[in-house]
Amino acid sequence: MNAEPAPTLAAIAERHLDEVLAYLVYLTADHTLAEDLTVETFERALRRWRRFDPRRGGARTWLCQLARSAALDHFRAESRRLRREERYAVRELREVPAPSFGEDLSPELEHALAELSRAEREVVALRVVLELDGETAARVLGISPSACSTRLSRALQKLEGMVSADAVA
Amino acid sequence: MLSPELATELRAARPTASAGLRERVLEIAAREQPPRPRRFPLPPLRRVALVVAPAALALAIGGALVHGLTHSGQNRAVSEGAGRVRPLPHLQPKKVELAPGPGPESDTLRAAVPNTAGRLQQYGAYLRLQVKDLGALSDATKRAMRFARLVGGYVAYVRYTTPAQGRGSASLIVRVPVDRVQDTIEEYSGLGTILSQKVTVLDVTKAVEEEAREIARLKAQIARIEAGGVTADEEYRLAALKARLDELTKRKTATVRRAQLARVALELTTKPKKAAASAGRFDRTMSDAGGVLLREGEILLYALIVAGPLLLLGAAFIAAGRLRDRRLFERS
Repeated sequence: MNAEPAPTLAAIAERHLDEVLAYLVYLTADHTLAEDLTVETFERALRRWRRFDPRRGGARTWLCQLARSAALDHFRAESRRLRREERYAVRELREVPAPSFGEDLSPELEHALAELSRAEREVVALRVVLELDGETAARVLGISPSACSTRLSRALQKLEGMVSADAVA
Repeated sequence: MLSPELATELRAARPTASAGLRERVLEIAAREQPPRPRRFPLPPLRRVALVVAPAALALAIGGALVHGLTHSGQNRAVSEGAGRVRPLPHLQPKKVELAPGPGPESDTLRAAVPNTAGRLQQYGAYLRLQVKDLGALSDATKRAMRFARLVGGYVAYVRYTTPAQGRGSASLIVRVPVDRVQDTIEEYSGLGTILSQKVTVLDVTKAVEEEAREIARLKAQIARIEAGGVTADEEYRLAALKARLDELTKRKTATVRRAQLARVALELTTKPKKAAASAGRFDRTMSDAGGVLLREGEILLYALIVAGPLLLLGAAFIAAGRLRDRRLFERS
């Protein structure tokens, strides 16, 4: 019996590109930044492709881990830049684009998602949008499955509460 | 939980990649080199740790056991009697008859104590012996006393102690005729294991001869005075000379007598209790292995003490990094 041929990076990219982008959009709340980080994620994937071992987790999990790492590096760099600018009081007033998590999202849900923290949006993206199981999501986040479950529960509760409040208003 | 409507809305409105982004990403992915299959794929770090840690432990214990096995083969002599005095050739314990006759063995022994016929010598000998137990102590003490009397000597002092606990001991001082001192030493040496020994010989021939000359001179002086008639003035001097003569005579007699009887001091003790019974090979192996493991533990502890601050510093850096990352994710 012939073994199934190993998937190529191009095939994996084609298959999981939208999921990586969606994850990064939820994490960063910035579509443009998410696109840049998606490119960075696949650059990293190309560099580490030889080290990818499908037995240790699926390609989607691996790509999400790479995306998270790229985002974390960006956040760190951004944090350093902000601190530097605060120190020298040279922060320029930039136009911050309104967060957009999807084209057809209701304004209430869009607003509620924007109010969540990155960690909360991240767990919503992994568990609800990408529909990863608890254990895989926990592996991407680097936390225990129970902690992941708690974080998701809190995030959804918060999200529901804000959406309901907006609807009443 | 999230209502199904909201979940459906979130999934339906999932962002999708633009054509430009898709093109860029696929362009990156197309640069992929054909993977070279690894000859020895590296296992995950945690799996390596799960194997390496027990392997290291097994190696440490195995090494200790091997060391124990290889070093416990020969039965180590129990160090009882350590520092035991090797008997001098002439004091090697040898069984002799109570009335030994001339022969090669006694000739060897006689060579130790100079055979100086015609000279007056004071012999002193000290022997410290160890016997097996209290029964042997009692037998040896009685035998030593009997032998001293048998050779024409006497027991000057004896002390025999057998405490309820601890070591029994006996001390004897015997005086034996000089011509039997070698036999006495030889006999006593056979009573037990020699722990220490000392033999002293003091030649008193010259001293006795001087005393004899002085006595003769005094006698002549006294005779001369008595022959000339003792005047009132000389009476006092004559009395002094006689007293001096008497003293010298007594001293010479004592010196000669001491030179005729040798003084032999004998101390006997029982063996100390064994510290531990001679252990079997298994016990020795375990003991050696335990020692090696203890040493390994010491090395590990030392390494931890040396590397501890660095490890703590590293752990603090990691913890600080994680805390910072968590704060980054707490932002909106």
